[in-house]
Amino acid sequence: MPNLLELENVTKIFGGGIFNRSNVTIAVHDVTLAIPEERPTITAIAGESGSGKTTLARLLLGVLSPTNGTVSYQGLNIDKMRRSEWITFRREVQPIFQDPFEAYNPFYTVDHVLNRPIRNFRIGNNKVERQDRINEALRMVGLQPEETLGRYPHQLSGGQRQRVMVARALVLQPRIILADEPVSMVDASLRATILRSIRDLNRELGISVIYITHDLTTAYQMCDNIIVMYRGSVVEAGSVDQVIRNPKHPYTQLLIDSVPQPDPKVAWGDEETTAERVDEASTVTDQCKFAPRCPYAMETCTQAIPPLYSINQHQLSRCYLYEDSPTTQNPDIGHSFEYPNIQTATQAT
Amino acid sequence: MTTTSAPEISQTKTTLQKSNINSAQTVLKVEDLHVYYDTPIGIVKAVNGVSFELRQGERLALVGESGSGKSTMATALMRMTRPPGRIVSGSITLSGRNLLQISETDMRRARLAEIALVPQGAMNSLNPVIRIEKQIIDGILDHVQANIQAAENNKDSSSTAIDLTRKPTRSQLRERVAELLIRVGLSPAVARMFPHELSGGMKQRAVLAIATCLSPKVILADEPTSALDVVVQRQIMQTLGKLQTGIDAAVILVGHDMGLVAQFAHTIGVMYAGKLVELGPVQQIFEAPQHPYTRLLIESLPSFSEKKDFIGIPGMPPRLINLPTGCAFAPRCPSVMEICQNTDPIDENIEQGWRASCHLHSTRKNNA
Repeated sequence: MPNLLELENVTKIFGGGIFNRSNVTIAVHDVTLAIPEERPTITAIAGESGSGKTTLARLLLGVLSPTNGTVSYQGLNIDKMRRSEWITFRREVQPIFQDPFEAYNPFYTVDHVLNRPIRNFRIGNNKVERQDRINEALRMVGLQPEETLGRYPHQLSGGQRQRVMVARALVLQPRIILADEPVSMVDASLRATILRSIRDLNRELGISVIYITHDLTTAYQMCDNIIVMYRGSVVEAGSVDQVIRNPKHPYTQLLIDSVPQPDPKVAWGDEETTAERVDEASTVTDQCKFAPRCPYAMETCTQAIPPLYSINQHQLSRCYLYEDSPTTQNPDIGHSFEYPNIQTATQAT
Repeated sequence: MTTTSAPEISQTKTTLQKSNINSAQTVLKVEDLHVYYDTPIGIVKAVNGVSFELRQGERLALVGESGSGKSTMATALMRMTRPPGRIVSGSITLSGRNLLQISETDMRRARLAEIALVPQGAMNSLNPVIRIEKQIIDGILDHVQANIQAAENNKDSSSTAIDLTRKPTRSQLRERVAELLIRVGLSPAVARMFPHELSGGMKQRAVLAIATCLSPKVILADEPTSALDVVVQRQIMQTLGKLQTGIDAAVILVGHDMGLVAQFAHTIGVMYAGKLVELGPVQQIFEAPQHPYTRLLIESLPSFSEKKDFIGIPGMPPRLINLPTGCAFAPRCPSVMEICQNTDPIDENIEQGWRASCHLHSTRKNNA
């Protein structure tokens, strides 16, 4: 059975015109990842700004074409899809963006963002059916249709607006939702409700979710698996329980150590962290990209890119510190993932 | 506040433990401050009777949801409230002077030299076509000019790192800029750069250099790290901490990230609907929050320690127009009582330097 969404050796390079071959940015470097059809999960893609996580999301959405490699949906290369296939893809893979304040046209009521996709994709046979779809989607994200519909965006709070955006994705009955920092613009106290509604989509409707974030605490709380990226490369991947609880890659350790814990008794890692990033490193392809900042950097680190080592069944780490572990034979990082038991999913392997 | 044994406290705080803020003198005193916005549909009471004191070297964090009045508070402290906003009543006393009563010229001199603001999204406030050096010098020179004029009138010069009553020479300024940049962890070469040549974290550091160039007594930081990554965020907060201890200034950190607050501040002030509903030492508040809102804020934080269900605070913050009497948090409060609906809660002292404004507390006290 083909995978739902699949990246095969995907590389995306920006810049570098005809005259300026050297000045390129490798935004995503050789990523292979399969999201299986039968086992819906929530996967986090984490990293700092500049790590390539948003580029990866845009490749998955088909708004960018990879420089090398292929992105396929249900076995079809999205760059070579026929029009009807492309429409299906566009309907079944839905994004939720970061800023719920900019996503609305202030002149229209919020009904507009819910009606528009339904009309675009010609969903539902009659008005009643369409309205039911909308109401159902709103209830699913914890909003009352009577209280929400007919209002203007400025009459809703940031949290409500973002939940309407989740409902908008939902009316199209997608298979995958790509959420790019969905809660970073929302108040901390309202984040929980949005994240909960996104997780319910996965657990109850069997929609796979890709959650792009730099916030490792919410990733840990919400996701099953995590991919940590640094400057376009996957540096660590696996189940959140392994990667967050027991980080192996020095970069993951640095990230986790930097999260301020809401407990004054837990000290914030205090050792001097390596100063500002050296900016030429993104073009370097023959060494570990984290080596210039890494406290454990060895000679081997600057000689070749480390392979992904299989630390255990559910954790991969791209670091020479784990040379004793076997390198992974399967290029698909998804094979290290742990899949939750969801009722709607059949546990096929 | 009980002096806590050393191992629990992170390194960044130990320096401050030594200086012992309890005995330090008060630098800033805010009393019953009211800041309102006039709107066509009514008066918005964005800051509605806030009082607190800030001691030398203290780090106070003001937290709350958006719309709780924390940014309004920050601009009011700088006396930079603009129409439709206005400071209605109250006093802001900074080293013995009520900032609300001094002249605009005096206020202009007090800004940056005595109380400096790092505004929200400060790194985007740098002028893109002017070198960093010039942007730092601008503030210094402006104060020098004002001070030269003032010094002619009276001989009362404040003691800052640069003699503000004499025009510094070009090389003196260069030296000062280099020194400031090193202090915030940047290379002196940054002085000759333009903002676009710097990363977000570096720009934020440059802004900190500007804010501390005249060694102010109070640094007001309004969400200084909201647009930065976790790693850079920690670096910036550590830099701010070092700067602050270096010049022995007090810091007011405005933000909503309770994690950051727990790690950085000594004192937390929780704002809700324009009021300071709880104010006290960080450690005690995190251990036993007294106001239900504080408790919910702390509980709603995700952490690595355990996987739990997402807990949010039900409902929405109230609109600040025509607030009814009674506790503003009552509609969302899990432990709401009858008295909350019709009587305004008053500040109750829990311990020395710790107070909460909640009826739960007064009833508990009455029963005892």
